[in-house]
Amino acid sequence: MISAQSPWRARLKIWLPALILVVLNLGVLSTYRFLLAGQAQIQAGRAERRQARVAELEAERLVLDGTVTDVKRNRELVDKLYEGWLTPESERLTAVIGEVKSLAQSAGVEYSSFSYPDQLLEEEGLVKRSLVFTVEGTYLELRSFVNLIEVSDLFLILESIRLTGGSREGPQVRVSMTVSTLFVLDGPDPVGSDQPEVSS
Amino acid sequence: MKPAEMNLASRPFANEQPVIRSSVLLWILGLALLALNITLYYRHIEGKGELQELLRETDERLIEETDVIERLRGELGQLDLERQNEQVTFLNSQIALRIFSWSALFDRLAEVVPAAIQMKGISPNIVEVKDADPRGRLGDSPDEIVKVDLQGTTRSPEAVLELVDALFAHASFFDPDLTRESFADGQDNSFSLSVFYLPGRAGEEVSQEGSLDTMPVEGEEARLDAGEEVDQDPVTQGQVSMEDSE
Repeated sequence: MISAQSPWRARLKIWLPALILVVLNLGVLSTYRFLLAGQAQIQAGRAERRQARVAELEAERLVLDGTVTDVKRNRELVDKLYEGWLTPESERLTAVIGEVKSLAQSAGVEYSSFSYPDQLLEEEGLVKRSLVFTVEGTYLELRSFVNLIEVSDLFLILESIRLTGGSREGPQVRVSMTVSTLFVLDGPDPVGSDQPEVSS
Repeated sequence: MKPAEMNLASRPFANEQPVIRSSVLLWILGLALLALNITLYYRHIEGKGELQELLRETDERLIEETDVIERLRGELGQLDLERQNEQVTFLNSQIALRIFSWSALFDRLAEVVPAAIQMKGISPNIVEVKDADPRGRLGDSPDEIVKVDLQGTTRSPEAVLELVDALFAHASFFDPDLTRESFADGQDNSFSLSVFYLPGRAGEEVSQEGSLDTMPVEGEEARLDAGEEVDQDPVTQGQVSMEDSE
């Protein structure tokens, strides 16, 4: 007990408010430490997890975006190939036949017996037209002819060369050659037609 | 027995110093704690606001990204990738055939075929890189590899071995495989062998079709798929038979 004459009793108004202030602040501090700081940490953790999820989604979006861009670009390039190189037969067939004959003449080989089998490539919307023919000339002339076909501006594919007459009969060599090319089927593009939103 | 303490002063002396000092200390401590609490709560309130703002922004981005991904998936679903890949595979095979240089192949063969050998047949077939070079010995994978089947005749059995050695030594060929040799009295010896040919290395010198190099249809997936169809599709089979390639 504090006696009535005790200086603590006499100075009660000085030290008691200070003590109350300390006790109250300690109470507030412990509340902060054990409640609010924990809540803040939980919320920060939540924000961190959501940010990580956003980062995952961003990565996924970038991959998807890249894929869609590539696919569209591929489609544009395919369309460009179809429009620029694989035009319909009505536009290019006679030019192809004329080109092969012209190249043979330029190389100095003699050609004979042309036939033109075709193959429908419905899935791709194309027709493969082959030119099967026999040419005769020296080895060097044939090499020159092959080279001219390779450097032709038309989409000519040299498919096969078969020897039909050889050097034992003289310097002349006779070979059967198959050159093919592709034509777009006349009519709407079968690939682009069902995806109007991605056609170039 | 202890005698009672007597203090006859009108204002008895009492030492108040400890009380005053303690009071001062308590006030200092109390005020310091108050300042600390104010700072902490201020930061907490401020941080809470920022955190909530961050959470709100993150939620918005989550919704945004999810929407974009759904839209892209929908778009991708409409693009009919499977069909496009098939088309690209086919076109790649055709382009590979278009740019394949027979002239370069003839030139390379002329460098390795001994004069004593007469070539009877040459059959190139485009194959997948992984089939031709499963161990990756070629380092940087070439665009394509062509398996060339060779048939020929010779009067000198040593010439065939010379050809095999020359193929081993040539940069454009690898893995020659002598599959058959036959010897008949009074006739030329015939042989068959296959070898992998790297047209890319030869093609650099004969790349006349610049525009075709930039032609469409890329995509690793489509490119890799090409080989599977190449083996099945007669379009991609090239064959040449000739006598005396020299």
